[in-house]
Amino acid sequence: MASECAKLLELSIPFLVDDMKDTANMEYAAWPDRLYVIDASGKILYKAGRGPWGFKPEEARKALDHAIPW
Amino acid sequence: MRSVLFLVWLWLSLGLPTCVHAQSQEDPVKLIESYAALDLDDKAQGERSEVRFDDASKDRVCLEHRLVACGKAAVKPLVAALASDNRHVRAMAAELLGAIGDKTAVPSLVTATKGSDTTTRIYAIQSLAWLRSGKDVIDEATKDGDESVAFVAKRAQEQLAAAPGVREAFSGVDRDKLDSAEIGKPAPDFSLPTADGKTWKLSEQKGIVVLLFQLADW
Repeated sequence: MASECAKLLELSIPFLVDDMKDTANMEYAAWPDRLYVIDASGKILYKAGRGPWGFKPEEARKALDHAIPW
Repeated sequence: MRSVLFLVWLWLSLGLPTCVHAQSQEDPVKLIESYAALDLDDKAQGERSEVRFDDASKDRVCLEHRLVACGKAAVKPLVAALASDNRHVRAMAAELLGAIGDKTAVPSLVTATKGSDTTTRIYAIQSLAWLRSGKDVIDEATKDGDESVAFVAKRAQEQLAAAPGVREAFSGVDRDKLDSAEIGKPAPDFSLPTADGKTWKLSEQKGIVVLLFQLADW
């Protein structure tokens, strides 16, 4: 189903599905929804609040503006 | 040279939790009091003070998990907490009542969907969906003048048909890793297969990575 979704959305970026043990989510305990920006050195640059209502896209945008040498 | 940006959207399957905690014997009233004592108002964090990050804290997340682990014993105190004068407590109560999954909370959650506090209303609607209750209230909320409320109500309509073991998934998270990704520290590494069958490992990515964890609860 995930593959079909990726095709329908025509995603050109990696699209992952966590395994049945929720391996990735367990590492971040990001339940239920969370957004992170990781910089080029592998450090957490930005962490949004718990979603879905902790998402503040303008904050993420600021964090990306700091990180990306446009 | 522009850094490469990947957006990784992880659909999380609830699946079986790796560890299911036995029902906690902690006093939920004291946990709620501890929660109310947290300083959760928005404030600048991190070195870049001009970028305002959210107030999410390890203490808050941990308390929430401990409350869910209390199970039915936490229902009555959380129902009472829906009337707290602390907006963070109200919202937390509305959310966790859904995670605990006790339908005795439904009437109070229905009332909470009609309050003036948008965040609490949203979590109450979401919790009703998890409890597979309040269809009429949810349907009505899809026409709400507040776009956020209407949006979550529409999502709740979809979730009504399928609300799997939210409490088990919630309480199964390793508390030692709760909210473990901290700003300024190395991102926890992990590997997962991509939709086209390759292996994607976070530590092997070059450039900036955006991770969006999305719980698939339908």
